[in-house]
Amino acid sequence: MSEDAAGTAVLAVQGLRKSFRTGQHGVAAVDDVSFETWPGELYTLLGPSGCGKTTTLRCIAGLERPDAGRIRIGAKMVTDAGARTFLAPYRRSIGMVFQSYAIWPHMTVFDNVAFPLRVTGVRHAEVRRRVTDVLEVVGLAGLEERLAPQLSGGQQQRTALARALVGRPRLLLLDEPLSNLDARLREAMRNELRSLQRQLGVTAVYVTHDQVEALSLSTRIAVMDRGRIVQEGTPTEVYERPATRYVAGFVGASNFIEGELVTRKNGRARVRTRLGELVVTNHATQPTGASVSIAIRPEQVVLRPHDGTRPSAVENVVVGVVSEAQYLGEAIEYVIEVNGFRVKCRRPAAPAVATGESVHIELPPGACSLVGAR
Amino acid sequence: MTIRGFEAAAERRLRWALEPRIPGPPAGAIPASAGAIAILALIAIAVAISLRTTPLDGTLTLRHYHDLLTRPQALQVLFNTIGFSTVTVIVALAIGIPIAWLVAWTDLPFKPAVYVGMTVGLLMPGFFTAMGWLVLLHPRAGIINVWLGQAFALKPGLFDIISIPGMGFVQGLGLASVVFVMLAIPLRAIDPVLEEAAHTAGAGPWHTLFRITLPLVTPALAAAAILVLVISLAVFDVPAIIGLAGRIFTFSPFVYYEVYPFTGPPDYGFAAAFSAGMLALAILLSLLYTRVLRQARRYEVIGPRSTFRQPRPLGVWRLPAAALVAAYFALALLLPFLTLVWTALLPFLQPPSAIAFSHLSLDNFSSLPWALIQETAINTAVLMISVPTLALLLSISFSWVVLRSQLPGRLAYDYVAFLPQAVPSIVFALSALFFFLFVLPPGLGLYGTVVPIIVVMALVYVSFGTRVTNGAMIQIHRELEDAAAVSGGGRLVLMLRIVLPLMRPALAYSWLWMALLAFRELTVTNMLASRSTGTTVAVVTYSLFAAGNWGEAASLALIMVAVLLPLVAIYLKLAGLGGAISGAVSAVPGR
Repeated sequence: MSEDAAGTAVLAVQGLRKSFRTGQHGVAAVDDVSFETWPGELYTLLGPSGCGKTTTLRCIAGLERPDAGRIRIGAKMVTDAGARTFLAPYRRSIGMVFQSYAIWPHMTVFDNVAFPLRVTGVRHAEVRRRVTDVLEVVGLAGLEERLAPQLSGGQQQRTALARALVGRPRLLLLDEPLSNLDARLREAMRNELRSLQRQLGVTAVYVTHDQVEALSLSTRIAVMDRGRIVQEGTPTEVYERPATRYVAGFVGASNFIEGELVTRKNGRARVRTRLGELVVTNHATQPTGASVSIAIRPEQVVLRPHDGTRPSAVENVVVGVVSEAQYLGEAIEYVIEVNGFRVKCRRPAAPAVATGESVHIELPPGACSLVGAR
Repeated sequence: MTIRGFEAAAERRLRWALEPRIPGPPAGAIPASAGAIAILALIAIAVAISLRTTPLDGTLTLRHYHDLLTRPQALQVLFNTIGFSTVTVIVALAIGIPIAWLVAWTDLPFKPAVYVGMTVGLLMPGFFTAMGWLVLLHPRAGIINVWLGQAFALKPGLFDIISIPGMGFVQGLGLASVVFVMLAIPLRAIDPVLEEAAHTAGAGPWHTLFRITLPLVTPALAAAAILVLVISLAVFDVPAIIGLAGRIFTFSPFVYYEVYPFTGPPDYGFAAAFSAGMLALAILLSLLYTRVLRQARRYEVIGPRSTFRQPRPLGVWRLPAAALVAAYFALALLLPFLTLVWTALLPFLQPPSAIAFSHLSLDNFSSLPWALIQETAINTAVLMISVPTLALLLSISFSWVVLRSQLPGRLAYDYVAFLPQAVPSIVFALSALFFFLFVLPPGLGLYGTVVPIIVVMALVYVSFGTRVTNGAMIQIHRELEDAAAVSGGGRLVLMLRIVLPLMRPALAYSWLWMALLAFRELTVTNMLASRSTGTTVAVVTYSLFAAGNWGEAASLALIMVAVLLPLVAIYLKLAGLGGAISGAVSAVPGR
């Protein structure tokens, strides 16, 4: 993919807007979305249903016309609402995997996968070679002559993937490709998809509502809410430094502790809460005096038996009582009550702490994020 | 009882409850078995007659088949039937496909009205439309031909409806609604994401149309075409009404007039041989139909449905398209209706003019044979109630055997239930006539009553009824029945309290649908009704028309429509538009 020289975005989306008419009102599905993806990236649009992620993807594919904004794939401007540029989907050199796979039921696996090559007039022998190769890669060798209705869900998924990859597209679009598989298969396909994408080096935009998929597959994630991107970053950034209360709640579980920002200096913020004054080492942007929430993941809450010894840490340590303990196999999820406030805490299953026991909990300042109040 | 004993009893009880329903020969299979035997017997009788020198006591012979291949008249009828069916299929597809496409995929206005119109079209008796068009385009007396002759001094008979193309045209107008119904649902069911996938795979609009869309639609199209072909090969109403005037016969009217000849004795053997030939052809076509339909169904459900098809904007073509659809309804329903109104109000037929308007009167209504109509109205009402009831009882029994029992050979029941869809009704009627006239002891006095008609029509409608009851019973989750059984309900309780109530909506609208079909039925009733008793209003209308009393026939036909339309309205209200259409999919009108 020589055209996509390093330093040039494979896909650039700028100021994308799209609203749908429902009765009298237009509902904004995509509201000023901009982002870029780099060669070899797997860029994920993550959000709940109705957040505009699929509409964004369909705009990139050319299956929807945006009301405003520009989309560039490689060097080619494929959509420019202002200049009334709109390239049909079949001229965008993309591959797409649909949520329902969209395997053509009247064709065999081979014919399905060969379709993108045949419509562009690739020679017969070349078609055979490339289809055989790609079926080998996705693990469907030997199923060439099966008809779509005879395929299992996983096989349909692989067929769809092979069909999207066979034309060596500049950009691979994936619309919730794993959501229709059962849990076990989903995990296997997730790993496979990841290694395949890295191995082929194809740039991909991936749409999902599943945070585990997003965190494990992506090079970067854009979390979407009501048509907007609310945070963009690597999986680690998004998970460990959620920018908003929405992100903290949607990507993984969080404890939210309400409070008031007291001081802020040297990257350390002090927040007055029901648990006492807590320190957060997070780049807070809120002014002092603002109502804020501290978000902290249950697995980052440190739990120690209250055995009379002083805890090692000095900051953000409070005393509470274990009120619930739920055994989850590899871990136990505790609920600790502190001054009537319930803090969730997830710890390895051993050593276990009994309910009713008094414990120290520590909220490491580096693990706390400052987000907007409720 | 010890604790152990109690547990063992409870376990036994549970195990009994969880065993597959109906382990032994179930009582529920008795009606289905009787029905299946009757259907097979009616087919066998026709074949048996065709192989004997004389129907009752003759010896085995192939003479009738020899006659079939050598008599010029038989070949003529065969050619007529093929020509008529070809024209019918072409006309029905040419009208039905575009309208189904417009309704399913575009933003055509007034879609609900199209559904209503098509449902009315399915139920409108074929003889009604045929009478209207014959009155309009009879070569000598037809209103349009006479008017053209007067206005432009043309020689009469410019448009001759009494011809194979003419009859095929009228039949095609009627069966366009069948094509529409057969296509509207599959077209809507094709997931647009399949086309989007082609676009993202680099295929332009033409490629997508020819490689993806058309191949996906083809099975449904083929199924519609075969169904229309099967119907038109066997249809009676239209070719009988129009063809009689010029002695142009297709298969069903020919069989009828072999049994009730204008002169001379009936020729059962020849009619039966012809029937047996058509039977073989029809069964072959039906096998093909089932195959193609299965293929079509397979294309409908693949993976979870994802995208809603955005109706394609017609833009400036929106109103012209609506006008074309309206023109179809004008030709198929409105024009024949107005023609019959005009015919009914005039003492003798003439094109509209000032003089004609001064002659308008209700004389035709008052001169109708009211005593006969009163008697036949009672017969018709009896048919409308008993035929659907019997047909549904049989259908429920068939579905029960096929879907819920462990009976060996239960799938064969489903094939037998589907046979009347393939076999021309006139063949059943012929066999039944023979059976009730000659085989049953005359002392029973059943011939000349409505009983033979009820039996045959109920058997014929089992092919439609079982499609409905199969569909309804499949949707009842097995665990709902198991739950009732575990709660201690016996088999009868299960049926009456769980299964039937759950099937009630489907049963209700299919009952009404069959009642409406029975109301307008002409093929079986005409054949089985004796000349004096046991006839229906539809037969009286046909007889009046065949005897040349066009004005009276038209007035009686209008009275029938006046009864029919409110019932259609109730049906539409009951089934809803979607239900009406899906309920009608497997209905076979006009046979």
